[in-house]
Amino acid sequence: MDSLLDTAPCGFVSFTDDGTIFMVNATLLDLLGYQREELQGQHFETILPIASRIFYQTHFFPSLKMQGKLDELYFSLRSKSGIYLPMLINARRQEHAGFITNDCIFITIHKRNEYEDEILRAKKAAEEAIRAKEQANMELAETNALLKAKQLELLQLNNKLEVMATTDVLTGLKNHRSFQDYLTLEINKAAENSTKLSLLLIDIDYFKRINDTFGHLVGDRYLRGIAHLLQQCSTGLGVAARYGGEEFAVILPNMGLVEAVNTAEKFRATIEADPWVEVAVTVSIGVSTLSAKISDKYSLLATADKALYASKARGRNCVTHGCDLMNE
Amino acid sequence: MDSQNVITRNNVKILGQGTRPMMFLHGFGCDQNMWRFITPAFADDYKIILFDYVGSGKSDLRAYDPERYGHLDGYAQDVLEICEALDLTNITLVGHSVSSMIGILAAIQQPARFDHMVLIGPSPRYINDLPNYVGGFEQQDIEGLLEMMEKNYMGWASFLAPNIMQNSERPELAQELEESFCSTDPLIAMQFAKATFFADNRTDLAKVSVPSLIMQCAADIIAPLEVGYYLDRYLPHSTLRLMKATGHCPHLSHPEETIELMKEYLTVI
Repeated sequence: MDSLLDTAPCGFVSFTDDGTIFMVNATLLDLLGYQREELQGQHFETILPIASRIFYQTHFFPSLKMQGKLDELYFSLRSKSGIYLPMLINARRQEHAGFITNDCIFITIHKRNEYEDEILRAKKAAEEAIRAKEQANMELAETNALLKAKQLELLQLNNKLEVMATTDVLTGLKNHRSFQDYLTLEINKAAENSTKLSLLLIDIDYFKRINDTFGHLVGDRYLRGIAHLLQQCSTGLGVAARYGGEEFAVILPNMGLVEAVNTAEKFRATIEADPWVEVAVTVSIGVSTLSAKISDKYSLLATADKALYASKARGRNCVTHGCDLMNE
Repeated sequence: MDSQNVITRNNVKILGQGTRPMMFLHGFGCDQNMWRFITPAFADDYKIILFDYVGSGKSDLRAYDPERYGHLDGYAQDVLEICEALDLTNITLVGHSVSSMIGILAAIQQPARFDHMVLIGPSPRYINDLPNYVGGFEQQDIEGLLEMMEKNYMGWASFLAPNIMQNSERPELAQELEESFCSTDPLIAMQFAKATFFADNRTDLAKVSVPSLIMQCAADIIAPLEVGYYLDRYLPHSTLRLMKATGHCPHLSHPEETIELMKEYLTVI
């Protein structure tokens, strides 16, 4: 054995194709704790732990045979005392005096190995973290989508409820509660903007008679019919509501006495002229308008009510304005 | 699958002057080149078919599907797809190591295509199943191997996302890979090893109807003698031959003895 090679700063082994160790240097012998005669002529697997033996038979030997050289291989050797020594290996197939050997050098890679272990662990942890993050992101996206859907549902439900809470079921007009809110709103608006505001109270004439004669189903039909006409006529002009059992109200923003009375008269005439089935029907209407004297909700309502009462007294099927009362 | 696609995908090479096909199945770790000391001896009498499994050698890496190739059946499919693409019958199949089992799986599915099988260093299961079955290894031995493989390939695995497509995006790596350990994609090599070493094909043996030659090496830690005897007993229509060659790759380390035994078997029948 060449003396330089024998004591080189790396381990050296040369083995033949059947795995028999042909040559081994002192550096490696010392590292592994063997005497030369214990390894020379023995199988290379003697110094390999099991996992390395599998690796040798399945990858190392076939690849070296095919390619003639291998660099930077990693596997462990096993010392005589059973300690595993991780190594970095370069291998070459060489021809000496007519026969082929597989020459390998070994460099201990213990520190590097620990470092690599740590890197591998970090890599796996990072991969896992990424996977978990992607999973969480996906779940978040799903939850988000669900939330948006629920929000939309809620909004739609809210709108529905809003409509239900403010609508009179039978006629489809605004209900009394909603009417009160609107009235407050419109009075405030009129005050703020110094605009006009009028109110109509409408009562069906002899409604009780219709119910008693033809029954409540017919009565309901009349209520719906009148409500429908009112809705049609007041569209674009103001808000129509069911004020009581047989009483309706219409809020007319931006209308003063004259316009309000004209509008009321048009309602009255339309209802009278409509071809009712069982019996003709008419309405009495009372009108009031905001003024210096009548500036709040209660006086506006009270005045319209008094005017309505006057319409009834005058023979029904007519329109009376609150102003007329004061003049009397 | 289009036959030209299969031929390209698996880097199929056809040589020889004969008409009867002899198909060589490489083991893991490398590729069809491992047969180059054997094939010349049969080139006059046979049509030699060589190929690389998807993921090995110069196969098309883009065709690699971890689900399919996570199980030996996926590899058997490569074999059958090549047989179909080339319209092969009366095949003599030669399989090394894990490819013995892959060949067996292919032969179970389409026995009519195969005349004989030559199984070099076969094993139906590598992990011991005591007290009755000695495969040669314990679970931790295999885990030690996989860990070792991981470290050997570490230089090529990207840091955060093991991406088997990375090699096609970094052509300079291809050159490096060629010169170094093996030109098999690192992740694929490990997955092939996993599929191999955690497989258990003992129950498949009885289904085999194609006759076979079991070539058992002396002192083969991968396919030890007990495994050879097990196969002799449970693989129908099989003939066991004990070799003088030691180790696990007699076709590389002792090609003459390998050729001799193969010729002896194939001539007699």
